[in-house]
Amino acid sequence: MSTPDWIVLGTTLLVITLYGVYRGRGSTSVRSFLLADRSLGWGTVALSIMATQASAITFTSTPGQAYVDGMRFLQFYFGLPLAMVLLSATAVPKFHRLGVYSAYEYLERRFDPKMRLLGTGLFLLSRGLATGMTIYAPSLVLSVMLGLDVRWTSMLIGGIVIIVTATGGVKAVNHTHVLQLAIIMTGMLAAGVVLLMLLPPEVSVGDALSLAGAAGKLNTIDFSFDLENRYTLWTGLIGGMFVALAYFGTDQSQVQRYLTGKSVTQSRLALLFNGVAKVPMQFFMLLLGVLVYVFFLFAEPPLFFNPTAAAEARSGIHGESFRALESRYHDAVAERKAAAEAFVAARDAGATEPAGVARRLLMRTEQTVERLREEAGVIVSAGAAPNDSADTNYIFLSFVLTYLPVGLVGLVFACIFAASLSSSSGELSALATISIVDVYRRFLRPRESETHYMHASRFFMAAWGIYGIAFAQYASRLGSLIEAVNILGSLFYGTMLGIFLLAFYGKKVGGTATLVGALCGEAVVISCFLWTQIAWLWYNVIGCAVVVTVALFWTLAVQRQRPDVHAEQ
Amino acid sequence: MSASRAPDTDDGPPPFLGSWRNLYIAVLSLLAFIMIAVYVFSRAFS
Repeated sequence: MSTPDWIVLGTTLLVITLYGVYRGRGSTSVRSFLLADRSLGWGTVALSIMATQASAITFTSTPGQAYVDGMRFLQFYFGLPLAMVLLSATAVPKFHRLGVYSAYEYLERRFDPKMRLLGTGLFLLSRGLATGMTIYAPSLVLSVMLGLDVRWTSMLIGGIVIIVTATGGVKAVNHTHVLQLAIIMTGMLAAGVVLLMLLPPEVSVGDALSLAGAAGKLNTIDFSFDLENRYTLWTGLIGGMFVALAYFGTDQSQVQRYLTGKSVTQSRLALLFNGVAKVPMQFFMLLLGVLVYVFFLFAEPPLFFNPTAAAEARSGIHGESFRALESRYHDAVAERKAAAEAFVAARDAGATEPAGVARRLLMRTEQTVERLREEAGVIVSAGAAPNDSADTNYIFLSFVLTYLPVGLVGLVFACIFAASLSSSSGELSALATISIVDVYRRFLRPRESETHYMHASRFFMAAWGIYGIAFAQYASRLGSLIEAVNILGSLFYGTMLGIFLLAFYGKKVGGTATLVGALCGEAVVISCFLWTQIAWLWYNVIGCAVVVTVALFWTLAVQRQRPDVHAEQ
Repeated sequence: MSASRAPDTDDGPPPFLGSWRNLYIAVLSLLAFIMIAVYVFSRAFS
């Protein structure tokens, strides 16, 4: 990266930090520190919600995923607007009217302390581990692409997050989210415009999209019903809705965002805005990846996009095989380029039959190229760490570093840093809130002064940040455990959603019945994970259904045995 | 630190479309439109 790019990147990070500290000033009470005094309008809350869910990996892996797999990932987000409507109508007014600080505080009001403890424990376990990953994953990608040590990139991300969250609390977090999202959108839009300009002059936007379609990359909707297929219309609408319901309705990192709204109306509008904007935003990110794919039809892409892993494979014990693969790849890419050029020429001339011939040739050569990339992945994974076996996260950044003009490269990397900061700070503030409200104040030190809790809040913000950085320092040594950490979080969402559904609507269901349901639900989800091929999006539907069903049956059974007892059990 | 925040009773209509029900219908209609538009888009270039 050139000096001007470093200047753009450094200036952007400095501005984000200073802006966060500036906007967070005046947070002198716990209420302002953890809930921004419930003073924020729906615009700020909406952008904060979007920034929290958009991690750096979203912006690196989404275009990469479209490059490899097409646009079918878009379907995952179709359930999100449905969830936003349901949560606006139900969860938002309930949380607001009870005036809770955290989602799990509500569980104690509705059930009993053990349910609050269960919710808190599940959140701290899953989100706590995920926070380490939220810092580590982008740190690793950025370190590889910028040639920096992963310890420095993780300390940079973690350090800025600690400064912003520990000094200004949630108010600083939400306001910097707005700035960060503005930077991200500007950078990505600029990258998209320049990408279109970099296409060969004879390739129009229509040609580019037709090429993408011919290569099967515009596979946005799949009507098939297959439980083992992660991305179909039905998986997206049903499974995606349950994921979104669980994430936005029971995960404190999101609940905290809309609790800062100054009224029910403002929080509802924020969620609905997210419901309206999210699908188009993801469409754009995926389209960016598809256009990168089209660009690389005319410019030779690397066989493996992770430069460090590719260099290791080239010089490793399978180096000869890798180099031979690169040679075959070079020929296959040249053949694919010729097919793409023939397709564009035929299309522009309106020659249907030659266009069909070129299209079939393009598909055939594309299959060869994909097969060679898969073989490269096998060689890389044989000689490198397990995390280096996939290069999806590196595709977009590889394009950015190699082809974008000076200045814009720094801006796009600033986007990635900003996205990492936004998701990390949202999670960090949520973890600190849960630590102070649901553990420290509730169970350890219930009768301390406002000043004491204020200091404790700052301490927990910083402590979780330091933990995230420490996790990132040692994450590379964890190997396949990293994958387990990623999976772990997705195993709890269905159960949590079931608990909250019972809390909202199961008026006769008590704490013990819900606890039994939750244990059964979790057991079923873990069984599905271990012994079936069911796509993970369905885990949330299954887990939620089991929790609700078992709790209702338990309640009925207890009522039959003891007619005088209702809500107690 | 108070045990909880002051209860919020604001549950007025949204600033546009008159009622929450209308706004929810608008959001869901937009989702349907986006899904159809995306499908038409991909069919047009495939």
